[in-house]
Amino acid sequence: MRIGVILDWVNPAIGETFRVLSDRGVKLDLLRPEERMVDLADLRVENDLYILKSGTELALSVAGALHALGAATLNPYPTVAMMRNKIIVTRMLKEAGVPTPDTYVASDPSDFRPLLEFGPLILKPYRGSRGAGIHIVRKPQELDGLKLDGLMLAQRYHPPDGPDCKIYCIGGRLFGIRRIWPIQKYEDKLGQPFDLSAELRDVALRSGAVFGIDLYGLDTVVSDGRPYVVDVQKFGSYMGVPDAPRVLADYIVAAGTRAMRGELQLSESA
Amino acid sequence: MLAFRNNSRSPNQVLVGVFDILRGRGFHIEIGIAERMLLRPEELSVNHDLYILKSHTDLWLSLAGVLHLQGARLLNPYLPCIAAQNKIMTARRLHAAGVPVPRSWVTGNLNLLSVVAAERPLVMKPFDGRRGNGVHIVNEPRQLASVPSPRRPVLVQEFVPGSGEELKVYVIGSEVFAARQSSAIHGKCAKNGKSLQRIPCPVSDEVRRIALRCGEVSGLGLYGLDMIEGLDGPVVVDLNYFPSYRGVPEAAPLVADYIEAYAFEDFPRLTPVETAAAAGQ
Repeated sequence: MRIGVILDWVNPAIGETFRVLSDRGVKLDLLRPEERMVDLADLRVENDLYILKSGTELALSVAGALHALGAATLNPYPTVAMMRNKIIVTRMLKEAGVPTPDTYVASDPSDFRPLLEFGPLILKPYRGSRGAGIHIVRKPQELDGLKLDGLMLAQRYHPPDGPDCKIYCIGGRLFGIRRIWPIQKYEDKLGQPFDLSAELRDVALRSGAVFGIDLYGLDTVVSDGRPYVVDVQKFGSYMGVPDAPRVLADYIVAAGTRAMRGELQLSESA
Repeated sequence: MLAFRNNSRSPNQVLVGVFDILRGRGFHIEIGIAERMLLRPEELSVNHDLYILKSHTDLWLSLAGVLHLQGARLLNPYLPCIAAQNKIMTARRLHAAGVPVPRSWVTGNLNLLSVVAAERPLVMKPFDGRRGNGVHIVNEPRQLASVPSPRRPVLVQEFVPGSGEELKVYVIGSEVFAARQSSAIHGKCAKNGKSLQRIPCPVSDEVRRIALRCGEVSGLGLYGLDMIEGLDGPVVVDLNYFPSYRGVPEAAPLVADYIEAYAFEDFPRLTPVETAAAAGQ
């Protein structure tokens, strides 16, 4: 089995996953599009499955080109492209009955001003990953200092009762990790595993099912005892998930096997 | 019932004509003009039989994505529109389908370009740019130093020498039209936002064949192409969904007919989950 991985950097959990995959005889083809000069005519489907780990626009474009040429991608490229857009994600979570903070969209941050009367907001670029460009705004004058960077999403800020709850899904198996935010030091990334309540399990499963995927990460905040989903990632970091490399490798091998049989549909729900 | 959307302050005359014709045929048309206010994504739901995606802005494309996932019907279809917005995907896909496109590269590191820049002049375009925004011409490697380091990926293409004119090709289903316009890239840029003059011209068999092939490959029915007539024949340098059709006097009735036929085609209504799952196939 040949698996291409489109990536920018590798965290220890993913690095270990690669070692497990290699031990099982999987041939890995690591693609770092930022660091190469890619002649588009040479970009061909050379692997049974492509894992889209990187979230950069170039990585997404390369994955999109491979998808258009018939490659199987994990997660499916069109789904990943839509999940990149937080306006779409928020609306779909709502559709699935997943609790999310009240959300507003505007191109000019000053449009959010009246909303601050009712409490703080978290502003995010409408496309983005890994927490880049996120601001907590409490006072109207803080909006003035913000750089205009296209379409912005404002979500009602719900002060967390404790650390953030990361939830990772691998093939329907759920893992909860409590993690402080913002991260102060590297060890904070590992966080503390915890048992998910029935409510969080339900929220987590709905959040993937609405996109037809079962490999993803979720950021949730519990505020006043109520959970809110604030972000969905097309491919989590899986940092701190016990035994993540083996569980992930099992999932990837199973997905690769299905891709080799021509079963491009990679979600369990369909 | 139809909803049209655009964000233009000065409405496109072809569109105005299309709306008039369709209203005359009994269609109820609502025009959405956004960009101006706070929006709540959760309030968006499908309440029209067909949505026409004319705008190319991030906001409308986002709203179109929301509607698409809720099972709405869009013209052009949503996924081909977002694919067409990405010049990297488009160039690779057209090339694979045998459409003549310039030799193309991508990288995140401009220093890696100096080798190809030494061999040929290059055109650098933002991967999601519109109307020539952010395009740079690199005639020799040392000019690379003056190209601002891009924040977004760029598509790098071989510069195709031509007559100094660009061929604007417009397609409505199986009808192909063309107009010549002096190329913005050759430095004769429109001043003060004024549009360059377009002169309608006949469509050669080769241009027609290439244009229709682009539609098959991209899944678009209303689209425009920029071509350069190079030494070895026409080369496609850009593809857009729902173009202006400026300079095509007969466009309005044809676009109206196309929309009407599309509106009455069978269309499976999918739930959001089915739509998301179908996206993975």
